[in-house]
Amino acid sequence: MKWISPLLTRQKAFRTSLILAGISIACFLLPVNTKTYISGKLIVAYAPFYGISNKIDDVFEVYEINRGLHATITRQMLALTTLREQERENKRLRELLGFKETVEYDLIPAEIVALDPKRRQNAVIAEIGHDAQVSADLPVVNVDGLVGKTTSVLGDLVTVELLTSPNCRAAARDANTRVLGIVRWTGGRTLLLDNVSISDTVAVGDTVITSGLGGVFPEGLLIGTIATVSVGASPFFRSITLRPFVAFGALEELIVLKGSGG
Amino acid sequence: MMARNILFFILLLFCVVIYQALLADIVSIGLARPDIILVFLVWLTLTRDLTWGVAFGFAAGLLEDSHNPQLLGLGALLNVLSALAVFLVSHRVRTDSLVIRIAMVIGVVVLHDMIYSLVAFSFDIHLDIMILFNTIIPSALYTSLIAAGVMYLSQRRLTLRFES
Repeated sequence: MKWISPLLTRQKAFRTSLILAGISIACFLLPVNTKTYISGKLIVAYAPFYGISNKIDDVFEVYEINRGLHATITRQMLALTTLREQERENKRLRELLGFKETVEYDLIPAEIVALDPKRRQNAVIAEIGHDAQVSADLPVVNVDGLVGKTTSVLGDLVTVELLTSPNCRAAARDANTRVLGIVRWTGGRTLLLDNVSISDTVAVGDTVITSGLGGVFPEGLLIGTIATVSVGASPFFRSITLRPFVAFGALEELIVLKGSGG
Repeated sequence: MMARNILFFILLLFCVVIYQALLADIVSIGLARPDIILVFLVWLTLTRDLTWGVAFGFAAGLLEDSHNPQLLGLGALLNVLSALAVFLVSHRVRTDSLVIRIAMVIGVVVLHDMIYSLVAFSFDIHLDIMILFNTIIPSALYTSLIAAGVMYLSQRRLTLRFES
């Protein structure tokens, strides 16, 4: 008992220690619900600092994302340089062969402000800049691929008919096999690649792009990948469904393609 | 004087909250995480009074326990017992030596964390031994570095005050 003697000379401190130890044991023996309630009250002390901590984490996260984006931009710049070089070469070769010159497009950003109240799923209303001078029947894309086309313009607002509208069709081709068809929507989440003969070769997983033959959409815009291939109602044509690249239910920013010649 | 003591006590708790919320994850090295509550507890018990160490250990322990409601009270109890242990040991060894103080911090961290993890993991000895080597001992060594800094600065401040 000799070792405990310093405690006995400090009766007040010893009493405090016993009381606090008793309270701690009582806390530990409380029912879980009560403990959770008390913890909830105590943890409030940390709340403002966790807020700061989360903000700091966000800053670090944004920094990492920024670094990743810088790397991506650098890669894209290199790819762009190569593509520009190839574009110049392509132009020279087309001139040599006497091909018709392809149209270049201005990219006009548009932000979706509303769904078209009359057609809901099939059209959206987007806001464009004041001096954009957009007209009807211009192709509209986003970062994923073809979205649809403009149908009417009123001031800064433009109505975009989506590819998931029964009235919107796009001349398309299989990017691998170059087989031509027409993409349209018949309901559901997939699109239909129509008018593909039974003798044409297409495979599941192939990418489908616009062919540029319809007059509205330029060549090479991404539409989707082939999900299923089967024999259609007509024995002469295939029934091909596409999984679109664009998430039509989660559209945000759009880009209207306007021929640079107006 | 009383108001000044209370203010100092609140300031210490405030430091603990800031440390746990903002700095603990940043200063952690792998699984080793310095336990500044125990550093302050040992420092207060040795330089001020047992009541200080016990009261601080209890309050900081409860705050720390709020992150794990199932074990509410356990951290506080172990902190109170740690302060008592430091107080009792300090009467049997020379606590003016920095090395002894750091050894006390290491001992307190190891014992405190061992008992805590024994109870937390329902006395699973195998798991506890694994935690001892992977987490507790590295944390105790890391904590001792922080303690060395705190106690050196505290001693230096006292010396300067005495000399002036």
